[in-house]
Amino acid sequence: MDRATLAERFEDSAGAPTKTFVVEAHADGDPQGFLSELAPGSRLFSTDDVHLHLLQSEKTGLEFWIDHLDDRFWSFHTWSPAGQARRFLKELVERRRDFDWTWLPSGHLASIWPSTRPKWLRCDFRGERFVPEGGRARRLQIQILGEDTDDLLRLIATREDYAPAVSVDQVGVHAVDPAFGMVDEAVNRTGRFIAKGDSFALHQELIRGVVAHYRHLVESVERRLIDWRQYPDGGATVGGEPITIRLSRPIQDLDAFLSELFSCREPFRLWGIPEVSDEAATVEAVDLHIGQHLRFEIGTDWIRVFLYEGGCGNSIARLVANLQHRYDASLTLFEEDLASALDQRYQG
Amino acid sequence: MPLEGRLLPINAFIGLCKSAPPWPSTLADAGFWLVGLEVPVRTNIGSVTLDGVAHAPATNELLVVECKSGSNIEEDQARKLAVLEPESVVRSAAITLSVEAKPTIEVLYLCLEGHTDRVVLGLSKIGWTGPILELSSSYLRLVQGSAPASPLQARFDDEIELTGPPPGFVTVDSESPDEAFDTLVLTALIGCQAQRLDMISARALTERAIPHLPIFGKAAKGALERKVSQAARRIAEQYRDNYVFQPSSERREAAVRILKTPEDADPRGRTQGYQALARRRGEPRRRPKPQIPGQTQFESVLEELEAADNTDEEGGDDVG
Repeated sequence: MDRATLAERFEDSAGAPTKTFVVEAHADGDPQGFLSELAPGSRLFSTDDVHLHLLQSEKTGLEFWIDHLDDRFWSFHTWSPAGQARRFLKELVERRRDFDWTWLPSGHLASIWPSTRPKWLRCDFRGERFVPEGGRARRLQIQILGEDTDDLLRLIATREDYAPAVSVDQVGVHAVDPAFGMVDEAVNRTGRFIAKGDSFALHQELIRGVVAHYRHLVESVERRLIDWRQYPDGGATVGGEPITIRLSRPIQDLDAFLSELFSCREPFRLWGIPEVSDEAATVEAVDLHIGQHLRFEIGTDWIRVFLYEGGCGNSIARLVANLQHRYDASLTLFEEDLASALDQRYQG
Repeated sequence: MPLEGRLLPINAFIGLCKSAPPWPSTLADAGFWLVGLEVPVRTNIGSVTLDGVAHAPATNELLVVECKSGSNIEEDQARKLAVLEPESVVRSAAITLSVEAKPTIEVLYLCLEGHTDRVVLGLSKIGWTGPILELSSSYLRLVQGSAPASPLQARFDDEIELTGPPPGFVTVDSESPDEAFDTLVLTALIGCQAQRLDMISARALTERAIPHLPIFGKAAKGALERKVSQAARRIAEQYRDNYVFQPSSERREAAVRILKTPEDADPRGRTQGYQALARRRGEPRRRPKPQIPGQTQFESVLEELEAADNTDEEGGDDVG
């Protein structure tokens, strides 16, 4: 068993589409150890490739080929039913602090392969809990299959009052590379890729491109971790900076916004007790997924987040990507490099 | 929690050296980096602790900022600040000089609106004519002296408008009220529960609760650890089902034992468990907003419609 086995299975035209879930894993340099205790009740098999393992769930019969050549963003390939596979992984994500989805921002999904416009787009904005009554688009769901589907979203986004609700949730492309072949590939915002075609290598390259953009965002955030350092003879200094989100629409009902954001519920999973003053709200919060302390300062149209040393850039990616689907699809990050990392896309 | 007035100047200074919009990054934009806080330095008339030091690596200009949260001027300290030697500051703050330029130094006083007149008066008594920056909730402006180091000259010429509070880097010190520690300690304990820890020592809890602990000297650190222990004791009293505070004894340091974690519950129970820990003692469960009479609760109608359709919600709470 090796990568060629995977490629053969992918390219079997009679078979089911390949499902690849890209998850963030913190294995601390020991992927084998990590995998062996990842899913109790499952059996782990080595392959001829040290970066490739096979996991079989004895209870559900699900089978995942796990490619951890990228030591942080792992690909779980499977030909099992997508829904079952997702539920299996979801349980692991909920149970473990060192295992999380990739939270792809809307901009990352807008273009996933060079010079290729999407044939399928789904926009799914669910802002009922954040956007007060009276808003023009508190929920917006659009599905479109055809050529150049992004034209429709662009058209809607030109209307200022609808733009904050145009958040991409799924995208599908017909990707072609003369050296490899072709794949029809659909991706959702939690890093689920579903593909069928004649080139497993092309499928993997497409994933690699999307993950590269995501990694750039996460690592750009992590370069700003707040890091206090003490001098040996007294005194200290602090490195890093907070991350500031710029909202395109002001928060009208701050109490309701805070109550929802810090409700401990999925998908934000933030605990905190907001304190509101004349100038801003402040919240000493916990990212419940990893148990890390974050400080939030929230004004009418900005959110400043302090992510401390030991924190994970995925906390910010999760926050931002989910705010795009709950409150403001047009939000951006203040700093130029972060704004660009958030909106990275292939130039088509 | 919101910053105490006392801590506004130091956070304002740190914010000026960083990018923390909407707070202005005036010093960072002028090429200054934050290099030290609470740095002890020798002068030829004795030692003094510098609140903040920024360095412009391109020119080796040093900016020492004295943060005044009140109106009192300690004359002895002010005299020492007036005779600071740049070489001493470079060595004390372990500043790396990467260009040949000889280091120069300027001292800037940063004070709060309402205290400015007395600060100016107090400093005039020792003959200080250097720059004094006034901070209010809506502006930063130079009230005396020209802007200190040359790259800053133009940047403080005009009043700087402020549209929000300074970033909260230093959120408590040993003089902060008990409630401030309660918030930080409860936050740290929730983090422990999310990580399924069974026990945490008071020292480790202090490090978790106060990320900026390294700026404090030994005595202040001890005082903060005591404050954290007292907060932990109060919280354990408040949430008896969750925590037990174990005081220090001859053989062991103070610690908090964690009795249970919402992580052990199913997803719904877990959320409710954490939500319960966000309600203060005696505070009732949050009630839904009252409906406006006659207003249709459209969401509930839609929910029913969707339930009937039995759709698989991709973007709902059941994400992934």
